[in-house]
Amino acid sequence: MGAGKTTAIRTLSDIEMVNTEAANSERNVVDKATTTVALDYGEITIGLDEKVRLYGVPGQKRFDFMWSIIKERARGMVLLVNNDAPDAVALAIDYLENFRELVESGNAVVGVSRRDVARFPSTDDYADAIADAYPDALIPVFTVDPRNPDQMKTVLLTLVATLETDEASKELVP
Amino acid sequence: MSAGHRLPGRALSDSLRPPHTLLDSPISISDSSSDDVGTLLDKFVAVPAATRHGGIPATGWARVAMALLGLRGESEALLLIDLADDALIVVDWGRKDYWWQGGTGVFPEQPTISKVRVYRGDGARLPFMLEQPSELPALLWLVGIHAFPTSPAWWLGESMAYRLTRWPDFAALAVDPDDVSMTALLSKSALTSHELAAAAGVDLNKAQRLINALSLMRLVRETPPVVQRAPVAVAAPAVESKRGLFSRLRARLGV
Repeated sequence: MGAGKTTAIRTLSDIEMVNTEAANSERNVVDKATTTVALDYGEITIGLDEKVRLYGVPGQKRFDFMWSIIKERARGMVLLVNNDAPDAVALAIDYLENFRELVESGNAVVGVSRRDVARFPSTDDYADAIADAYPDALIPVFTVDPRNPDQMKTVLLTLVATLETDEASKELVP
Repeated sequence: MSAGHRLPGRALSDSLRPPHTLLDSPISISDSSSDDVGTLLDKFVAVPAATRHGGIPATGWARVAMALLGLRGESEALLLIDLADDALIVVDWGRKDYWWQGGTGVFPEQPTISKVRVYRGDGARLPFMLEQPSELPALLWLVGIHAFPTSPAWWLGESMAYRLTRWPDFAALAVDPDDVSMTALLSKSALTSHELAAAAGVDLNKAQRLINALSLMRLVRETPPVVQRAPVAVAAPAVESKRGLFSRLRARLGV
């Protein structure tokens, strides 16, 4: 929560984002007035009948039923982590665990936001922890500002590149 | 995603420049010593530098890359790089930070480097606090990409294969989508530069430069070449990459 997922989708989406925010009941965790309670939704139209659909799911645990719904159809995930959250690395690992299948297949990217506010933990700290938890997965960990279109494009293209490379390499296995 | 090379580093203000004594003589820290980079090159390069790989001289970013390579294994060291345009780069190896002072603010792809100095030993750290250092990987990336533009980095074998061990922090670097797609390929299998270029559908030099940079950043593992590698194993992704979602999305995003 507070990592910038609503902003990230707004940055990437080429439609007016569908947003579901409500009062934040966990201001002790992140001091902001509202937070996502259902889904943020955006999309990028590529062709007449092809879209990349972007779903932002709430970070608060009490909405984890939403995670189950989304991950059944998601091809990849971007986990945005607020770097000045308490124990941010452990928090990231905890969230990744809920999407273990996507992580183990390497179809995930971690974006660390607010590193301008809190320089540490470093991206290597996250990568080390992820490597310990998922030794066979190689998950990109990037510093991101969700407001920055160039950075969010890099995140999205990286996710798509890993997805396609993974699928291509599977096709090549005899 | 910008293909430009605006320096990611922040300026080192004049008031925060290292003291005169630090710049012009071996620093007065016990157990520190300075090495001339020419000596360092001699340790790595068995043949005269000017004859290697088409005669790349031991100047420019190649010189800096070799100096950085020589710091591996050091816990603390300082590297001071003087550029001809009166810019100064200070690398604090122990902190994995760097500062850039002066110049145009744009990374010079073919710099004239007037001096490279290395200070080693315990306590070889900047003896003052600096505001907002930049993270060293950003400099390693730029140096690695530009140091050996048409050849393998001098420490790499031409026929070796490379596999990614960790992703660079690409959102913080000046990368283009080809770098992203090539790195994704290296994350799945060990490839030579020729295989990587074929698989990604890019120029050989571009593939080699990526491997050079990732190697300088210590993000790839070198493996012996596999005799009679099956060409189909790397050819298919190239075809896929030209018609797949990545290409379409790249075009849609205008990058």
